Amino acid sequence: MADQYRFDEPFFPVPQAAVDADPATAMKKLLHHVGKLERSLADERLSALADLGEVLLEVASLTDDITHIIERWGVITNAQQAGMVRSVVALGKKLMEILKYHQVAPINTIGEPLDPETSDAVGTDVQEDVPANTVLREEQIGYTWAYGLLRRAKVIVAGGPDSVAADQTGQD
Amino acid sequence: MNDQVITCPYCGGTVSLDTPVCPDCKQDLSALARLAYGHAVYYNEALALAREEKLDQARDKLLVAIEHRPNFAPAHSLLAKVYARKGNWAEAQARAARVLELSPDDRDAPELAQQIAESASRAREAAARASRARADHLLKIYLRDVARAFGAGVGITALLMLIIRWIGGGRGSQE
Repeated sequence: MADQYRFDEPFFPVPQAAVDADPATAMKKLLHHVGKLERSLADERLSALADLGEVLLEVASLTDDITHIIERWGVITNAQQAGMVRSVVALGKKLMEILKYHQVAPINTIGEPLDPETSDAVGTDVQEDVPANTVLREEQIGYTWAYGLLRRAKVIVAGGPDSVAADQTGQD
Repeated sequence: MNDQVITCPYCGGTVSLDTPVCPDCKQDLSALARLAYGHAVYYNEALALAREEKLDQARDKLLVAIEHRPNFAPAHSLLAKVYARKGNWAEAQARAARVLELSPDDRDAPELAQQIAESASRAREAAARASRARADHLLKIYLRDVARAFGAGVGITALLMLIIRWIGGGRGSQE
């Protein structure tokens, strides 16, 4: 029986490197490597978000500047000026599109009570018919984006009746 | 050696498993080669063990090799021989049949299957002969016991008859 079933077949050719390799050790090393990469990736992502935030803030400032330019332009007297204004408006729209693409939206403050989470009151104005702390106008538009607050708004708020009285006393 | 190639997971380059270092990014892919050749490594270990007559260990390695690559015909073939050597004919025949399925062009496969079938047949006949011999032996013992019991019965009956006659004769002479 033993002679009949001899184990005389050849060994299967296997590269020595494959025989010597230890997949468990390799897997352990890889897991450490992946962990390290994931940590660095998270750091890179945070850094990239911060950079993007800064760039978007610059774009938002440019948009504000363009809005101011258009507001202060005054009466258009000739075709050349009209063309320039159109170009500036078009540029502003493009910048707004960029902001919109990155989910950057202006914070709606005017007419609303001051929200200390998003806005800083940089001054007060006397308005008898408006409740105190209501935002009257913006000195700087605030913006939010997908990751929270991008820039705080700077606003002028109504001082209310007390401040009106104080104001009148001061004038007297 | 086997001309097996894999795609380098680091750079996407093509790497031969015979020299598992990526020629492009120089990463050592030996662990991947080990996984690719796992079945063959276990097969070789099993073959070495079988040659040392360590049949149970060889069988275990072969089962692992087959788990790694279920269609690896040499492992089934070797396992058929290991089972044959252990006298496990049902398993040996099943493995030999699997080799025939996996390698219909292998000229040794039908020969192995036939050898195992013949050995299994001889083993069955031997078992049947042994079974018959055992039955004959038991029958002889039974007949001998029956004959003894019969003889004992006849003797006891004769003795009883003598006693009865003797008692009956005694009463007749008193009357």
